Amino acid sequence: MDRYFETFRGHVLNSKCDRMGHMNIQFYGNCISHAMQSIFPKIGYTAEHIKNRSKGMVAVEQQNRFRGELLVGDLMHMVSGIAGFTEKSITVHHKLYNSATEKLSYESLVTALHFDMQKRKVVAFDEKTLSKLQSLKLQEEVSL
Amino acid sequence: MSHTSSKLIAGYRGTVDTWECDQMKHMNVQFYSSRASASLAHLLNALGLSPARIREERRALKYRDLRIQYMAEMHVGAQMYGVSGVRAVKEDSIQAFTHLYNAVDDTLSSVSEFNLVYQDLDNGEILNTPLDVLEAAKKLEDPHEDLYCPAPIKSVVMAAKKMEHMFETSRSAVDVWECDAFGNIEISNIIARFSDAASHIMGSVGITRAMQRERNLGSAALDYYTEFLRPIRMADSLVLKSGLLDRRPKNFAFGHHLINCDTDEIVNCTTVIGCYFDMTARKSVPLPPEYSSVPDEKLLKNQL
Repeated sequence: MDRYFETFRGHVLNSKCDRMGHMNIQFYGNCISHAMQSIFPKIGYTAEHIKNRSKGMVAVEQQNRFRGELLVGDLMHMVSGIAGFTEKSITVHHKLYNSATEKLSYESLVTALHFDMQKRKVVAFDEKTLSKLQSLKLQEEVSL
Repeated sequence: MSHTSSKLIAGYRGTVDTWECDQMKHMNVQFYSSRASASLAHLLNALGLSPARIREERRALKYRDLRIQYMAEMHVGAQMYGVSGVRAVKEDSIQAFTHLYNAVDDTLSSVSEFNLVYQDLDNGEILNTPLDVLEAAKKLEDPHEDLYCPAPIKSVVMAAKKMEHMFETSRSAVDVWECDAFGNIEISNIIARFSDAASHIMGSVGITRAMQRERNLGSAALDYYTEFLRPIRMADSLVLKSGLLDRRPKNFAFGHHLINCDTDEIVNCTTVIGCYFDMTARKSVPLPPEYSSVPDEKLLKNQL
């Protein structure tokens, strides 16, 4: 677990809940969006870096498991880790917990490609980033 | 995160989204409040007020008054985290705080200092805080002298009484999606109304949007003090009346009364101190000369 980072913490607003009385699935995506942006600085991709070097990430694949509903007012936090990478992609494992009960509510594997934001083309990571990814990669295999 | 203590509760972590940034090119004040609300919810859980308990009992600790200071701009993509703690358990309230930081360099971005009272969430009645919650609060109680605490506000503070020279800056109903599960407006949607009102007050001073653009001027809130006087409920009809409370060489002070149109009661009374800044240098500048032209008798401070 030591290579997982806390990447999101919040609570479930009433405005995020649907007629089933729980957080609608689209807002799990919002948690993932925040969490991915929390992971990027860990590999050197701070907001400044992304802006200045015009290199970013684009999600291309996502697997989801919804394991426990979140109700209005529930507290939640997400931890994330690098499940894998290639010279042009990273795959991140996200786990969203109900913070009050510590029960796993949702997990997701997201693969994102590294791309040039001006050319809109996929490009390879540099050696420094690949080295950082290797140091952060989870030691266990992850599958959903 | 360098701010760790067994008496500090982790309450928020996330990123500034593009749609949270306003024409001043920084995160709008309402979104600090939504983050602070998340952090407060985590603090309440630490005090024994879990979400499940709050849903069942329909009672919780709510802001009675709230001081917010904005210390550093947050721009799109910035990483943030927040912590909350209890400073003091008082006879009639619990004094607590939330600090929001830039996660990249631990810069303090915003501070909320507040007093909490235990309320019935359906009617706003103030009740005795349950003993187990008070005991939990005492265990977390710590003056946190190593953490920043705002000095008393550097301005005259608005009073919740009818005044001359206040004018309408917003008129609305409280929408369903602005409320929590108990039909009470979320604080961020109150702050949003004050944020929108700023342009109207500036307009009354004689500063148009075009003038601000020509002068490369932005404006920013620095300090809020707000008192929650009555519940603001779903579908309530609201009017916001505002005015220029005071002016100083580099700061303006705005006064706001949020009024329930059905009852004519002032439900929220707020003081906002702010400044103008150079949009390129991101540094504060003296108030535009138009502020000097406002007759002194029109300043709300003269009616306090």
